[in-house]
Amino acid sequence: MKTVLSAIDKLRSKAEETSVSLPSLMLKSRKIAKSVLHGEHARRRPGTGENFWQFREYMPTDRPEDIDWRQSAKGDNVFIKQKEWLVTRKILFWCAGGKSMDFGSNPENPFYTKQENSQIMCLALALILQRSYEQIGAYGEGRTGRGEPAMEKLGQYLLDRRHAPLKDASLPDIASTSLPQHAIFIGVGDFLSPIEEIEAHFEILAKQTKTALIIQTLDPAEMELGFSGRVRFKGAHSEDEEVINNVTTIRDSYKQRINEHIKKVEELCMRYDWHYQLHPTDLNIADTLKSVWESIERGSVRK
Amino acid sequence: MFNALSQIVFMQPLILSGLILLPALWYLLRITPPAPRTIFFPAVRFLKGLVCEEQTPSHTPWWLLLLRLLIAGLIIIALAKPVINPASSLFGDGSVRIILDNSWASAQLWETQISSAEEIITQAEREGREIYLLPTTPNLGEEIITQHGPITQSAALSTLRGMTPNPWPANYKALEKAIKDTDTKTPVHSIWLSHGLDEGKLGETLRRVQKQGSLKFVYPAKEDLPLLIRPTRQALTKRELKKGTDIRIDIDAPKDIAKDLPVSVQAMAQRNDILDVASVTISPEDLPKTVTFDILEDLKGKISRFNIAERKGAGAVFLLDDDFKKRAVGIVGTQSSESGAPLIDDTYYIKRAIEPFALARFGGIHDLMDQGVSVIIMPDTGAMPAETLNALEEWVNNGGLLLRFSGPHIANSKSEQFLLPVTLRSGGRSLSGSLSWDEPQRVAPFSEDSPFYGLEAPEDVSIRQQVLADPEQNLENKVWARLSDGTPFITASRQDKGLIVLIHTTANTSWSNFALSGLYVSVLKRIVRLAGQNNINLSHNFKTLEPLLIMDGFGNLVSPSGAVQPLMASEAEKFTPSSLTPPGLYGSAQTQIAFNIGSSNTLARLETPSSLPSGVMEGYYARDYEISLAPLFLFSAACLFCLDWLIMIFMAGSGRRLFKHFSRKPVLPAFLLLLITVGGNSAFAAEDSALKYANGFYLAYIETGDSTLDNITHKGLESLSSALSMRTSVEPAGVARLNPESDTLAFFPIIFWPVDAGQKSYSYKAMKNIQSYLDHGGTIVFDTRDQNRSTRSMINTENAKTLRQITASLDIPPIEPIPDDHVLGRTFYLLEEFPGRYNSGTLWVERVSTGGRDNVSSVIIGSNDWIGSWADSYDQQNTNRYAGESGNSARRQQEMSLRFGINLIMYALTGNYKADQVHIEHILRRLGQ
Repeated sequence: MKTVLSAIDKLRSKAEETSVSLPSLMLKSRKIAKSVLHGEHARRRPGTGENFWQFREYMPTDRPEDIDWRQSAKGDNVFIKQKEWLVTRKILFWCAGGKSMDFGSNPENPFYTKQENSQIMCLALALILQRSYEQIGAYGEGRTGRGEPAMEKLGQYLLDRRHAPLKDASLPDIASTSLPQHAIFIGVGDFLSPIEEIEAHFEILAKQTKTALIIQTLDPAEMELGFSGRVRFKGAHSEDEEVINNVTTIRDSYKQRINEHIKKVEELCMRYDWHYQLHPTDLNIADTLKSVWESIERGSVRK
Repeated sequence: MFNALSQIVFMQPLILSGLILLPALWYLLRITPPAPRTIFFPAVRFLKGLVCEEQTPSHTPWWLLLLRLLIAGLIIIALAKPVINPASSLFGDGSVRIILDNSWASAQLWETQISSAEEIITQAEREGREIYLLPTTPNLGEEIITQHGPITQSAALSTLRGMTPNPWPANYKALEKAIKDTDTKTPVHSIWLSHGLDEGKLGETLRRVQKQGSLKFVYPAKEDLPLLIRPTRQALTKRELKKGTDIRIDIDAPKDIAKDLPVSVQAMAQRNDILDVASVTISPEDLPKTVTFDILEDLKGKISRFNIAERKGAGAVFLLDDDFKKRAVGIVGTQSSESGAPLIDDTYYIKRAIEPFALARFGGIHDLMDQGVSVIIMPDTGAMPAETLNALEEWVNNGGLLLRFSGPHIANSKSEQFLLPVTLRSGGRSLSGSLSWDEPQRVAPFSEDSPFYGLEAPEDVSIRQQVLADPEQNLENKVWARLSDGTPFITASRQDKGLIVLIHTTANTSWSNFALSGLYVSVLKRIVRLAGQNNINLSHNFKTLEPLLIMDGFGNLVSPSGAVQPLMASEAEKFTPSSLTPPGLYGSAQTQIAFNIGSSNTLARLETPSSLPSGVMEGYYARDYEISLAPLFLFSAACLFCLDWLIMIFMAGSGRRLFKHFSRKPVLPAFLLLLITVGGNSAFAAEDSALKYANGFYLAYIETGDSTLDNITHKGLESLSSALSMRTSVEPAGVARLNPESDTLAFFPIIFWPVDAGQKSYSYKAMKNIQSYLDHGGTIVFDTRDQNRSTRSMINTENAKTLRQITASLDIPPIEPIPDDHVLGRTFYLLEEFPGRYNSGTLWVERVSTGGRDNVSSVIIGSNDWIGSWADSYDQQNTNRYAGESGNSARRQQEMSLRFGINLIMYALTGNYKADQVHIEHILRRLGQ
């Protein structure tokens, strides 16, 4: 148990490290978000404060406890402080696991396996969302929560995913779980399963949620096939094995294939109006997070 | 082409069977593709069904395979030792005897002779024949020739390597005797590797040799025939005598010598410095060729030998002895003592006049004749004992030159006149006196038939008194110089082989101021030069002449071994070089007489063998002996291997891969860089640095390899350099660090060498470099820096041992502790001691500085660590380390050490300039006398 805890701590600290560079990221994304807001509301609502969203004249249908007395005391009318984000969203994370994810070609990368990369990605994202008072949880666990306990739980879930059997780890286990209404699904994985399987899973997933973010984590070696010479490739399944006599010669056709696959996954996401993000593990996680966050803020993921 | 190929023979043909392994190699290389690496790869699903477009790279491509097989094949062929043009098989089938000419004439041909002898030995061994080896000269100190054999190939080769040419003629008698002793049950095939000269009765000897079987006589090429330097036999023409061209020697060669053979003759000084070179071309129709040296009078005395630059060997060297260098001139009388009144002494003037070009000897006539002088100068002498007179007369008759001066004694001689070129009137003639109205006479210009022709008679020479010659029939022919009124001034006449010259005035200033003029010196010089050219005046004092230095077969002078016998003085005139008395320098410490091959009587003519006896096979030293092809094959294998390697790199991947390969393993770029650097830059760099060092004065030091020490040295020299710029007009351009292995040392007047025990030893090349630096006027300062560690005068410290080790192979003249009055103590500052970091060490300098280097010692050795002290003063400028009372003395010592450094540089740059007497007065005053 102790080791598990320390492993979680380690994972968290790594995630924290990544989000250390996030404040500026947050600031930027907030600015972008705000400029959008300002663009819409600037004329009507001058002089807004930090936590201010919108004041509205009190109407009889409003609850009296919503009245902002300080504001109302400034004038004759009675105002209520309306909060746009009063309704928090539930965000459920899913991370692929198993042997397939436990692969990395460059040991110098700080988060070198896809698994680690994905976990960090999930946690960092969760941290950001948690700061925005969103409810976060793990897909399949069903329950969402706020604050530290929710983070702990998510961390534990992510750790468990590492040892999950491959069969149900490479794609979300759609049969056993259902999503709460309007929950956002964030799925991180390599999505290297046959496209038919992915399509089947996504179809069911699309019935459960309208909003989803799919991050496909791939190792550069998987995209570029940076090997040469005579190589015996062994897959995650023991029966998957391929001997290539000269890797260099098949590199182009492999790249074509994998790119086609990536494109298909992306098209699948487009079909359901989900956000899709490709993340090669040699890219900076923060960069990917930034673009993901932007898209969340811009509303492409928002419901 | 086929012809050439057919001449390729394999020395180890069995190894060629290795070639049948090549197909097996092909099979092996082909069927084993490299084992695949196993890599875990999740996306393996996408690899399924992908077909490799080309399968070959996993195998080796056939052409690469072929290349490798070619490499293997080349190596196998190279191991089988292919040779082109193998030595043709030897004649006959009995034993083989090599007769090797190794007399003086062989030296220039020696390599060729040895290599063809080796060839024959190898071939004889191949054919399994007995080998005999027979030189044509006896060894040093022996009179018989030993034949080596029958011996094995390796023994024969090592015997051959041990042989050298000998500087004496062949002894055919001894050779025949050695042949007679050979057991001749089987016919012997002899091969005579000759040098192309017939040294005696060669024909007969050849016939004797031929009797034992067959004989092949091998000639050298025409241009390889020996040359010989001899003393000239051509008499000087009268005109040349007057002009004063003087040194001449003959180059002789056999008649068969190649036409228009360029030859340059070098006049060498004692220490292998070339003083002059004369180039001539030798042609068969113009033999012997006379070479004339027009050399400065001062240098003439320094010539120690002549040699032919193109040839090595005893015949190409002509040693000179004292007789040639400076004539001994006897002055009758006693050497005037300095304390007396020299200026009225006749001998004083004569001595001062002849000193520059001759060795002055003083004494009675008998003493002088015993000393073997070639000229006797007799100041005014009226009479002498009859016995002495007879001896003198005999001496003159035998070729002596007697120069007499006039004076009151001759003028008023009551007795019969003797040994005079002309009859004199008694009394003489006074031209300017109180009772005379004649003006003092000047010397008239010299006429064309006078030996003094060309000298200018100065206006201000006036003769006040003279002796007058009685008019006689052929007085005209005897007069060499006249006064302006036509009376004889210098007269001369031959007496048998000798010459008597009379100067009609005194040797001192009592009758004229002739003795004060430059003409006096010139006239004496010309007269002395006339002294007999070829007479070796062997002194009666020596019965035997001990060998001092003898020549080896290559013309180098070496110390004689005990086997060399002394020459009998009586036989010296008929000197013949032999194994007992090789050519060289003989005599005693006082007299050295050179005996050269060229002056030996037996070699009056150089002859080639006229015609060989019938049946003797002729041969020439071929220039193309068997050529081993193995290196060629190995080289091409290496080239192909490199090619293979390059192909491998390019096949491993193109573009990025290639770059990656290079960036990870920077071997190839480094190699290429090295090639470029070695090929181009180093040459430029050397030239650059040469230009740099030649354009300024650099203080230089030898790097020891110990970086701390080198840094200190550098710092110390910079400190000295700035002190020099500040205090003197010497402004060093910088400090140079030298490696004697590679750098040219010639640019630096002085080089500092801090000696360190950890110093690496230098190669032969470096030592040669250093030696040549020292020989050509360089100065090296050795500093063992360990005065504090040595108990007594640097004997046993590690550094001193290292110094001894370094200098062991250097030819350094004898050294001594620096004398009190050494010029090093006053070149700039007046110094009594030479402190560095330590103060009590002894400073050693060369004992007698050899000529030509201005008395600058070639080595200066000490242990006071001066450079360290200079470096300290450099540091101290910044830190002001020494304060207080003790600091003062330390600072003073540093200052003194810097002063010594300045003196040292001045010493190296100006030489004995300060040894000059100009400043002696001031120096004495300042020294507190």
